[in-house]
Amino acid sequence: MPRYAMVIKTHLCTGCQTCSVACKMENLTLPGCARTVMTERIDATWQVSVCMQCENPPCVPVCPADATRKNELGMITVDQETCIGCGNCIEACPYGARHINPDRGYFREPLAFETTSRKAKEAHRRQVAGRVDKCDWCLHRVRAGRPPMCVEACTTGARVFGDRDDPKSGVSRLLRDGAKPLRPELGTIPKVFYL
Amino acid sequence: MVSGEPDQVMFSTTGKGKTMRQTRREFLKTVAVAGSSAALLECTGLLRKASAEDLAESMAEVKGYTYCDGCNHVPMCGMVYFRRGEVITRLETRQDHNYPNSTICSKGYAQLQEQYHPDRLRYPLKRTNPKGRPAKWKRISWDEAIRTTAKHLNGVKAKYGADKVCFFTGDPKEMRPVLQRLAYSFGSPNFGSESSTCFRSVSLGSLLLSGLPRPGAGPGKETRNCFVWGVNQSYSMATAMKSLLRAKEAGVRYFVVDPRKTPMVRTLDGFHLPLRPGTDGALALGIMNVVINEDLYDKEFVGKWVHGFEELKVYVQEFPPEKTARITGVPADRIREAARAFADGPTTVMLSASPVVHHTNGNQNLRAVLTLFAITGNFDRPGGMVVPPPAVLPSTTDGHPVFCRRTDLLPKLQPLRADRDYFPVWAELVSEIQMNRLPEYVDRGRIKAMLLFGGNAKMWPQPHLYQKALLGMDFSAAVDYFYRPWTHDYVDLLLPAATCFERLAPAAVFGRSVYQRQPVKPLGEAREDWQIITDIGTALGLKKEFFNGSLEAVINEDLKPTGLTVEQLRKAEGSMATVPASGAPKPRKYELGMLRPDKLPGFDTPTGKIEVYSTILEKHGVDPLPTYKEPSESLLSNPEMAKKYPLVFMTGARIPFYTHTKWRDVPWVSEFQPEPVVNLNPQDAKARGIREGDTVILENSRGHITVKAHLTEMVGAGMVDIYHGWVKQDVNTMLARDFDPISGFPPYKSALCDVKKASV
Repeated sequence: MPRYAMVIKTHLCTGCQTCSVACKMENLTLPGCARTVMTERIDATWQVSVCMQCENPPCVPVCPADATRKNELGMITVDQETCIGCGNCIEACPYGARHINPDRGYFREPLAFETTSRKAKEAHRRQVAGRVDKCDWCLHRVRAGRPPMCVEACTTGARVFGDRDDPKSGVSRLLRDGAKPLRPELGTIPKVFYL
Repeated sequence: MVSGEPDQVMFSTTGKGKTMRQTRREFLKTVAVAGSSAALLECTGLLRKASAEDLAESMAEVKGYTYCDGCNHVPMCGMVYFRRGEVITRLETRQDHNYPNSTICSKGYAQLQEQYHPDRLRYPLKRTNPKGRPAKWKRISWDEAIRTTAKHLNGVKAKYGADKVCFFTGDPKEMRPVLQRLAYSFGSPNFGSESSTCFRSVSLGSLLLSGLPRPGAGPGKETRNCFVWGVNQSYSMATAMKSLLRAKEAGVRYFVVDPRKTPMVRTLDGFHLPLRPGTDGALALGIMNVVINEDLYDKEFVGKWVHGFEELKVYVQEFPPEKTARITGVPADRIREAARAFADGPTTVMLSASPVVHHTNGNQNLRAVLTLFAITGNFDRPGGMVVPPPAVLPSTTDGHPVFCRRTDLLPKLQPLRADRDYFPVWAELVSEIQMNRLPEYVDRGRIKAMLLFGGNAKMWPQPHLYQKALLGMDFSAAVDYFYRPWTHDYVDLLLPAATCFERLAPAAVFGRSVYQRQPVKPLGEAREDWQIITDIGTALGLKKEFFNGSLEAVINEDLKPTGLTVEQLRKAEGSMATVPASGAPKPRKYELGMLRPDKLPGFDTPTGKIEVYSTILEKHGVDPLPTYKEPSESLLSNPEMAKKYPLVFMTGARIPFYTHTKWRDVPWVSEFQPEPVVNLNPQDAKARGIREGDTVILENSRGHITVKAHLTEMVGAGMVDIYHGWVKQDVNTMLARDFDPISGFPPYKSALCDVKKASV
């Protein structure tokens, strides 16, 4: 089983938001529910964050409905059908990666591609109001051998995704170059690293 | 993409990663065979089965191709769409119709929300109340819309002359070729576009200097240095960023000339020359001062190919580095270091369409910048400003000159141009008219009717004058995706345009590669621009020119020089065809007689040389040297005003997820900046007691607007940067109609202003 990781080359991020929009298009997230959050600093650099897919995820044990789980690839998933929307996991996540889906879409009525996607039962795009949503590193794509959408869409190659166990992968090289996780002192052991 | 063997057609299929090389004849045979398979035909966008499909079949995901019109750039990025039935459900980048290994940007992915936006126009509309008030619309048939338009245009032609009809394109650009064909066939030279505030001034400056219409080039294999002069591609063409980063890895050194410390400085590790807005000419002259005085220029090239070098040599003595530093704000040692880079080897410059020329002295500034690269021998030198070989495919936006009727009909119509008396240099060298004096053209009865494709009355300084101009016309019709009251409340008809997913024409051209889009059924009765223009042309009586309304025949006419047809491209199902190059790439084409129509060595200018001293400008009584003048409203030219308004105001630069007025109603992107924001340097903000997110008033001698403050070190102290295109808080109300005498361009980037906290 590959050990996936993501590395963000911070100095390459231009804040163009292509990752954010590609994510919204791919996953049909709801208003205010950005799975990848971009925060601008006063020096015009950007803090990029996604779900850290922690090895030791604080969100999993606090879920009373067993809706949040770590899967066989080590990725943290939410089953929105089982989720009761209690918000425990939102409080537990130190990285602000989770949010509750609102009960409205971007427009008064769903647009044609939203209803068609629902009719076609595209499971990864199904969003349930009042339930918790978060980034799953585009599990549907990773399972199909493709990188998460934000990685594919990044205009400068600032996001790198790959297998840490493959010494030739981009992420292995960047980890050797000294990419570091956010807030390692928490013991969450994130799989997202920053350079 | 441009690496195919000269005598072969390259045929590739996205997704399969296969590339076949064939001769053109073989290529045409292949597509014909592929097309004969019924199964394949059903997969194409045009020939699929009608609504009899059962649900399961229609819900299967089918791939198709188009290209994006999200930012109005050239080339438009290729997109792969996936549809279920007639509904497009997701988008990806078309890798083989884009910069290598790149991606479409935020606007590209957001196209999906625009495509199915509930407010999209679906039917032709006619107003039922007088123009100038909030429109009341009545749905009409296309037949009535086309007949009404033709009746009015022919009426104006009979009463006042064909030249009194203006044909205008804003955004997108794709209908330009066929609209020129319509204008010139109808008998009017008054075709204009938004490029008369955008690319055409850079083009004009380059034509004056070298006879070449497209200056500047990205870094190539041999490039040592690349000047990024007033371009922030990380915002304006994010899709090109990976190519620039690869060049950096390969050893190219970047110099970023920009008032702002844009992400280009950080990501490309660029040497920053942070100049005061509008002083590009002075900076270029200051660099030339060092280049000439330290003997870093190309003596052989200058001796043989430059006209007016002695005069230039004398003139640059007025710009020693220390003085240039005082004018531009760029430290003298940085000016020297930039100059010395020219000794390292091939150096190129990337210029965007606009920022250098958006000043009252913009065109001369631009000529000064280009002159620097000319005297250092970088014109068409490998690794320098490489001149591309002549295009073999018709440009998606400019069209083939013969198809557009620029070669046969336009020359005879030139005396009837509305802009001749105002901008004679422009009128001599640029085929489209300079639109910035539209209010004057209407006041003087030079324009009586107008067709607008994606037109926007608020794109100019003092926009109310342009709305009034529309109001003063006998007839006007607009074609658009949405009802935009600030423009459409002033027109008679509003017609629904098909989107880039719903259009067939024109073929997608990227270098020597071409493919045809596979349109889905348009929403409502939306119709593609090329068809609308073909219909109007036919209704006007131009049946021969517009093939009795046959869109395919019109496209075939455009494709004629390539030997390709709509039918062949359709059968290729969106696969790319690559046509043979016009010859192997050759540097120094001026030595080979490849730049002049008479095939003689030299440049296509009156003296046959690079005209540092322009004989055309001299003829028109304009300074022939690229002389530097302060912007007419600047800290140095207007110190009295600067006491009251000490900040320099820049607008018109792109942000990554909007294009001018577009995209505000597409929430996937508009949630990043839902309201107008002014970018302030933290020092300037502190001095005024302004904090992040405060409501502030931006004001100058012409007006004021209320916006939110955003503090960022990207903007240097003493300047403010504000994105344009907001309907209510409109920056254009604060700008002067003080046009550059050569290009007619407005000063979008050098007004004076101040910012204060709004009282609560």
